[in-house]
Amino acid sequence: MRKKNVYKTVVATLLGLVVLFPIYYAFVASFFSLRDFTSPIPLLFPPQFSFHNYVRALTESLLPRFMVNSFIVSFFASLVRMGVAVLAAFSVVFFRFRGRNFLFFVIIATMMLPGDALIIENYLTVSRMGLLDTYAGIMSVYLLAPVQLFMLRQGFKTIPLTYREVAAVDGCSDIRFLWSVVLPLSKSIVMTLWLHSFVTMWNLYLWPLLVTNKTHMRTVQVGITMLGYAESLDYGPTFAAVSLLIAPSLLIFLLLRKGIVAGITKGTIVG
Amino acid sequence: MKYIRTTISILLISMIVGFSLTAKGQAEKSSQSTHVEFWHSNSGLLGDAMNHLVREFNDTIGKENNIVVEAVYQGMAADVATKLRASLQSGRASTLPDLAQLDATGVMDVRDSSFMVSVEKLIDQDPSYSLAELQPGTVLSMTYKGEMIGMPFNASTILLYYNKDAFREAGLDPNKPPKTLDDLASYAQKLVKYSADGKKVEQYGYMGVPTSYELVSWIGQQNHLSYLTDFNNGHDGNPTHVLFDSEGTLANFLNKWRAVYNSGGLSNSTSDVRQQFIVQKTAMFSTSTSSLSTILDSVDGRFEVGVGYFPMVDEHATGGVNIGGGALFVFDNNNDPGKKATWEFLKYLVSPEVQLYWHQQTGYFPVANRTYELEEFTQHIEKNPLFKVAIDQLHDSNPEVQSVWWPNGYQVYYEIQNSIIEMLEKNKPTSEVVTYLSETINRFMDEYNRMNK
Repeated sequence: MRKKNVYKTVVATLLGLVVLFPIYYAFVASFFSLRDFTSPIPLLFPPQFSFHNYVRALTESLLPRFMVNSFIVSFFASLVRMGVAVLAAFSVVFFRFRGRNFLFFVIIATMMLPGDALIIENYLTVSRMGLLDTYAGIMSVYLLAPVQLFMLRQGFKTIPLTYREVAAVDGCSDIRFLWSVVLPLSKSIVMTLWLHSFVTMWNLYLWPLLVTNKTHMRTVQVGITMLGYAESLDYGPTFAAVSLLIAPSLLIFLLLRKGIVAGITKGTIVG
Repeated sequence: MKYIRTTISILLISMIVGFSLTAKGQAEKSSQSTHVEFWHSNSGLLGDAMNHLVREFNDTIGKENNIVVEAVYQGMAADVATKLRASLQSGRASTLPDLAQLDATGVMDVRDSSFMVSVEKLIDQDPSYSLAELQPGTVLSMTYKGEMIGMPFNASTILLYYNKDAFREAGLDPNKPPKTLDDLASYAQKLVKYSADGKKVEQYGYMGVPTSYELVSWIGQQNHLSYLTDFNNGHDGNPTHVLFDSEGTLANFLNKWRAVYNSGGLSNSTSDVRQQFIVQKTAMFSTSTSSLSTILDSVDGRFEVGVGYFPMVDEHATGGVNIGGGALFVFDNNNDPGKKATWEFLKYLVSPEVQLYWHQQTGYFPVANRTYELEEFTQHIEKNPLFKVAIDQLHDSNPEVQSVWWPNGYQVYYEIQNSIIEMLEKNKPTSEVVTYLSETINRFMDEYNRMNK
């Protein structure tokens, strides 16, 4: 038994290192000078620590402003997304009405439409609504996520229907039942999905670039490309910005870690 | 219930914040002066240079004429094209910029659009300026159906870069770079260096896989002047089929290239070739003239860098290299009637002094003829003899060797690379590669022409 555990630990550590290495390297490279990037033997540790690249990343672009923009967009969009998905999943699981399954499958079917194919049509809609250069414009097309609806539906289905009947007998309203019974029981799924949508929104590039024109409305991923250019070999400021950008996602992950791990062990898979 | 109320109020607040920001944005526009919106793809060093020029314009000429140019960075060249495509398809002029910077691939998206305003028409309206002030090659590089539709701006050509120290070590004259592909093969053979056990290559002679970019020159140089497709590489209309198969130009090049590979000194590496040159894993490679400053900075004196004319396909070749890079396109967006303000800004950007500044900051060569007569320019060239090679090459080239405007630009680029790698590594016959590439590219053009009828 113990021997098996040792193997497990070794394999897990190795896999962990594979995942961690790029993050480690981005962090280390944020201290490199131009010369360090073109060293004949790749460096795994910076020859000297200088915050030069961080200063450049923060001063050569409006990075702090971009981070605020991205945070607002990611935070609120994932919140609304979650709200819509929770209510939709709740009605699909606990209410019986005509066309329930049909409606559910229509929503799920939209997963088959590739986002790239819709991007120009979405741009037209958003621009006609006058939402260019607004947070609402950036968020708008991401407010409904069929994947989340699907995941939540599967999660809610594990809650026995008798709970709802018992609660109803005690005079519990639907909303109260959702808040006091369903959500606490599905905490890990909800948290995992929320984190997933936060990170997805945080990493968006093309859509925010399309619907914004003013520099002060840009998001971080767009901002990062302003720091380098195709011919440049001076990746320092870009890596410094990357190291700064990964912080919020990492922080939220650490805060929600317990819930997420619980979710994973319960068999939740996030698509 | 309480939570829900909080959530809803947070949502409402965020919506209000969003809308108030639009309101603010619109308020900015309604001042007296003419605003010119300029979408560009210059980031990093290039972005700094661009912003400097825009600021200087706004503080001088702009102030006198009540023009305010707003430069908006729109991501990489391909992103600018995507965004423009969306705006053009929406048919809503108000979402278009006054001016946009595009590369050769983006040209395909705008050249037939009714929203595009030809720059040659703007030049014709201004008696104080004429096409003759621009480098003839750059004018032709942006000419479509006999009219210069975009203003050449960030122009460059391909250039051979080599390591002079490696040349000396191999017993080659460091001041005589290879002139033809035959030379390149024999040089590469001498330059390749193996590890002590002879199993690993420590330094290649040449690194890189040709793409549409190199082919335009290597095919263009043959039979006095050749094109890849009909309609003069798409400059006289939408191309319908390739010419390099029936004219034998591709086969001639591929055979020469195979000889370079068979010398044992060629590496078919496609990624980070510039880095490989800087860390001395290859003694030669080719890239844009605009990379020269960055490469010199990065090499930082570790070895002596040399540059030479891009090797000719064979000893009969004439014509040299084509001009690549980007240009500025004007759009009718119901703002700035007659595009007078936009034209003022364009004229400023291609003025001799501004072109000198842009050249010194970025390495793109000046498009204005008079820049080359400036005293400062002569001094600059004397101080940086490598830049002189790049500029001499440009002036020795035939302006009619032109870049190719065909659909699916990026896809074709990789199709060419992959076919050449496969030909070399699997030792496929040349004719098979020519047939495959002609069929593939002809199909792309066919589909494009059917869709855009």
